[in-house]
Amino acid sequence: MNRKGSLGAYVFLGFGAFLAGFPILWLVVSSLKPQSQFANPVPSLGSLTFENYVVAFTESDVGRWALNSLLIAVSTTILGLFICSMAAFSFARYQFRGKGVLFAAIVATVAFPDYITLIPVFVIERELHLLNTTAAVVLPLAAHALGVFLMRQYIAQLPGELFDAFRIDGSNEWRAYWSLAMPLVRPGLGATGLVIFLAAWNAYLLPLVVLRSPQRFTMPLGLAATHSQLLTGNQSIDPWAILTVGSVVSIVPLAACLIVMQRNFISGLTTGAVKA
Amino acid sequence: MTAASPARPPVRPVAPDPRGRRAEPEVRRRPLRQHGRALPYLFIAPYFLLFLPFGAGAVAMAVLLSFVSWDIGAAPELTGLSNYVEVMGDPLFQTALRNTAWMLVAYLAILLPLGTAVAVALNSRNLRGRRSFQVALFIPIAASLVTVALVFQILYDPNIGLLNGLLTSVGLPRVPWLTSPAVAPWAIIALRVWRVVGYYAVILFAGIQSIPQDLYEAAEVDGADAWSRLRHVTLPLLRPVTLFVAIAASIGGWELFAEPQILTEGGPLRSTMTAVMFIYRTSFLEFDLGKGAAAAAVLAACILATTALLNVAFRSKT
Repeated sequence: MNRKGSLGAYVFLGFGAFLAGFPILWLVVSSLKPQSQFANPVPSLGSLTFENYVVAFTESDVGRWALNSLLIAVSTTILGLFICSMAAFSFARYQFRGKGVLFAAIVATVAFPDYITLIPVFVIERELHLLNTTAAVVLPLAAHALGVFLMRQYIAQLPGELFDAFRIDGSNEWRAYWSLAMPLVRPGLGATGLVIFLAAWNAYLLPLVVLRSPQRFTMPLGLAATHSQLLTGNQSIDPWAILTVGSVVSIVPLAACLIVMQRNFISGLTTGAVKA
Repeated sequence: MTAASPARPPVRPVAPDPRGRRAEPEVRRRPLRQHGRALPYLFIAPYFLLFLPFGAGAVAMAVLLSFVSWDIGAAPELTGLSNYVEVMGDPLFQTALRNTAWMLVAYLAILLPLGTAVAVALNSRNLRGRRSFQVALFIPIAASLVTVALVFQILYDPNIGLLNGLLTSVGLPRVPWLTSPAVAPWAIIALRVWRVVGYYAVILFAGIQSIPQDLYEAAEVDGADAWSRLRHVTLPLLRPVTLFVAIAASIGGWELFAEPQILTEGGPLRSTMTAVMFIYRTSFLEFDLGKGAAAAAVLAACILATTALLNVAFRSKT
């Protein structure tokens, strides 16, 4: 391609990448501003301090929200990967009655947005006395429809002869799943795990409805609540410290993770889109 | 996509003994030696244990709920279509639906060309750092919507925000980003586009890469320049992926909730009140579950209609 075209692409993509990353960078800088500098969009580098972090972690619930979010995201990921990969293994490896219908039912729910199931999930969880517990968020999110779909694609790529050889050895089907298939689809587990983790870590609507007491709040809930207190002017300690520090805690580890796992992550999120 | 290296021998059992420790569903305890009829069902059982109530069952129940009158706390009562009549006659719902619809159209009209342009740029020959560009563009989608909304709240702040800071520094007047009914919806659309454009661009880019290279070579032999290759090869062949992106984005657009909820709470003057905000308020703040479910069903119908419309539009142009 000619030089001019390439240069245009660099400028365009460079500008796009800058726009994508800039608000997050700016957030990090904001979280390091001293209180006195808050109104100043461009503070001097020398004035930056960790003061907000100390305030946020010692005087507010930011640490607790982060732990709640982490607990929910990790539990959802482990449980979700486990049940999704088992179901996917069955859909990829066996023929059985009702297989087509059952799989279609799972895929169809991808098209049904969260808010449709929100009310029934709330009612069901109220009946089961699950409201305001970690499980109230984990259980619905772990039944991740896309997770089954993605894992099935990875498992279906494994050659059938592998399993035949394994069976001749006299091993049972559980071992075929756990000791043979799972280690081989580790990249798929990584990608699917990230998709599930992100969905749980960032979940807002479901926790908003099923978690009521502030001690149970996840990071998005806690930040949103802090923010609405800000709007009503009803707060004790500086809300900007909580908001900026909480936002950094909720984005930066993920962004770091994304950069480390870039290959897996991108292939995981784009699989299915292009093949479909 | 990434093929899981199939040639690798099945080594390293990750778990101890299959019948060992950790609590976990029945499957483990049974000897699964013979390929029994129940076996495939045992493998899907744990998933369906959660999927039935929280997935399929919840969808079915949502439909049923829309036909009953049920205030939280009281017993449900079958009322036929009255929830639908009530919700369709509610001026707030009409406003919410109208706002959501026009914001969706504006969102798609910006997102699709921009996403395609980024994807085409990512596909330019001899581009260095392609992966790094992809990751950078991808980062916004990994951030929680709530967090993103808060960051933009600070960017948009009339007094301390960076945007007005920049405007005033070059002598332009401040813009009431979130407090003017004419500007606030655009501020929210901009946030949306910022958040997802990189994600969809990477998907579109993967689609461009799957277009057979010889088509481009043939076009080049025929003397087609870069622009006509784009118009006559890339865009037509990319259409299925563009359709996927349009459908996914339109579903996301109809579901607009967290951003206006946090940035504007539906205001000013209801200009950013969306359909999901209406459902949320009706169900969980006014506790009218039946009416909320009817509104959700109407919205689901809008989503299905949009999907069908996009399908027809994209197919007919080929």
